[in-house]
Amino acid sequence: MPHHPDRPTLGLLFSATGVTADIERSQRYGALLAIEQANREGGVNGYAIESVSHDPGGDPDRYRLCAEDFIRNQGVKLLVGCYMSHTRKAVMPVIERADALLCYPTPYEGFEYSPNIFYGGPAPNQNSAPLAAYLINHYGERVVFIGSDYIYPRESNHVMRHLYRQHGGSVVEEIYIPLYPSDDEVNHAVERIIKAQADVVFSTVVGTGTAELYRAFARHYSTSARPPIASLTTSEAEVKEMGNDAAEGHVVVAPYFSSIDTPASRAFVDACHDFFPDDVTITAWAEAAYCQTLMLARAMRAAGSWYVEDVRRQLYQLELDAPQGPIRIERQNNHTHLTSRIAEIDARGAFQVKWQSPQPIRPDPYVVVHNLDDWSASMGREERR
Amino acid sequence: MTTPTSAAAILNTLRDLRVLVINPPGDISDALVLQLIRIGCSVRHFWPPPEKCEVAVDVIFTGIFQSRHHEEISGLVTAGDPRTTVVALVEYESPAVLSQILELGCHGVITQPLDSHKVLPVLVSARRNSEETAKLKQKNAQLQDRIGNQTDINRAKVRLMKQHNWEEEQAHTFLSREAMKKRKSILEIAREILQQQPGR
Repeated sequence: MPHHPDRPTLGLLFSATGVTADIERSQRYGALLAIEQANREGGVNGYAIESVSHDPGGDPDRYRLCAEDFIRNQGVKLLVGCYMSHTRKAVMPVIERADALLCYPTPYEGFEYSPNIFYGGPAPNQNSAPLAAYLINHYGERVVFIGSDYIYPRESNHVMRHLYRQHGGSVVEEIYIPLYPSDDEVNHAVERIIKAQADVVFSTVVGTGTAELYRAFARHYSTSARPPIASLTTSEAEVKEMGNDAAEGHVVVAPYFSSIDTPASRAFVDACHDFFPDDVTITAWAEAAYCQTLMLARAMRAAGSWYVEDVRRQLYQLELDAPQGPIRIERQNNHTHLTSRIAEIDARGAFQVKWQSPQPIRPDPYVVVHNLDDWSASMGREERR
Repeated sequence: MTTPTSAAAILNTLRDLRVLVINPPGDISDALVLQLIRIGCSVRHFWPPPEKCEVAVDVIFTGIFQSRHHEEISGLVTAGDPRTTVVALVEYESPAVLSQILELGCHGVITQPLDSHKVLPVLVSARRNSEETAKLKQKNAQLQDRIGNQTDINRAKVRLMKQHNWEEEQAHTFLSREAMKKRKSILEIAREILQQQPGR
């Protein structure tokens, strides 16, 4: 076995290439920004925190190999990374066997607990449930699902279908497109959506397919009013790629948007502008990576150590004044108390927050049956468009 | 036909389940209890096995023991509600342990080392197994009853046919009319006939 590193070191597992490169690069820079700030605060025991990186290229096998390299060859057991669920699942056994620690700054489908993973993105009770309540209250009852064909979209749709049915809505069409869709596949999907005459589209398309979908959607609806596409994952990065015209009017649920006007958020946005390369966008998932990395750094500092068991103990004690608001880890399930926000994208491509949870929502990753009434009450019922 | 237990019936009730964990204190029990709490069940942990269960229980997770505790657990399971789901938590896969699993009528098994990813799938499939078995047992008892009843009705009919030299249909009409007149079931009328005139 390799030695415990003599400097505090974090392993970053974010793809710089592949279908999710845009979003994972934003996460990687979020993590690097946190390291830079923590080092300005004094690092750990007088040492600057270092980082090692690999580019797993969106491929689950390479994520596993990269994690093995960090742990086995370099002795680095504190990791931040992964975006798509099957990449996290690929890394999980490696992390657990070595009793290492992975911070996973991404929304996912829930139904997982590992003592070795800290989940920094929302579970369905923190995004899908409030979004469903919002959509049913503000738009019509006919919804179309479109998703990339892998586990997260299918599980998210399972949750959403249940929520819609519970409230008398109907899922009129359910479409899956490949992670790397062709133009034809995107166009065909949009034609099916139009034919279904939906009031709202729920999209769990991730990666580069997102911008293609929204653009194709805008083209097909060029002369008539289009229904909104609601998403759990579409971020500032995808909006930048698709253009403001294609993005306008669509809906996103996330813990954070860079448009939030609070001192903590403005400070984060300013820091990102100074630190991020020009082609890297500030996203909710960059914020999540930033928060988790900063928590790791503060935990190392409080422990005066970068051994996993010392850091883990300290992590549970922390409350971070994050850009999104206060966050902390729930000891019972290793997920994070997060604020939920629903935003509509305006003509300038900015996310206008329409609703936010009155306080951070406790993570509950094992909810089979969500209760919409919990949320509907705080949203009011507007006139349907 | 019994309708099979629907997925929704199992999944939608997970958070209502009252679960008993019978296993010595330690890491395994802690991991199991915490995972059940995450899933949203109400959990009680006992060691040693309680003599009897004072509260209603839907699911028992129990270790398998080569000691007097096995008899205690077996007694507890036998005395409890037959609809209770039983899941064994096993460390060895030796013949004695396997026999004990079968003897307890376990609906699911979790092998150790226990990690949290194993609990929910077993819980769901074991619940389905035990609900299904309970339903089929109930249905089976109903059918047994019905077969017995039909035999009595047929015997009464045969007696009437012989007595009055009737066709089967006439005997049937007689039984239905009597039942209506006396506001009783056909079965009751048939049994009265059989009692009045002991068979040859």
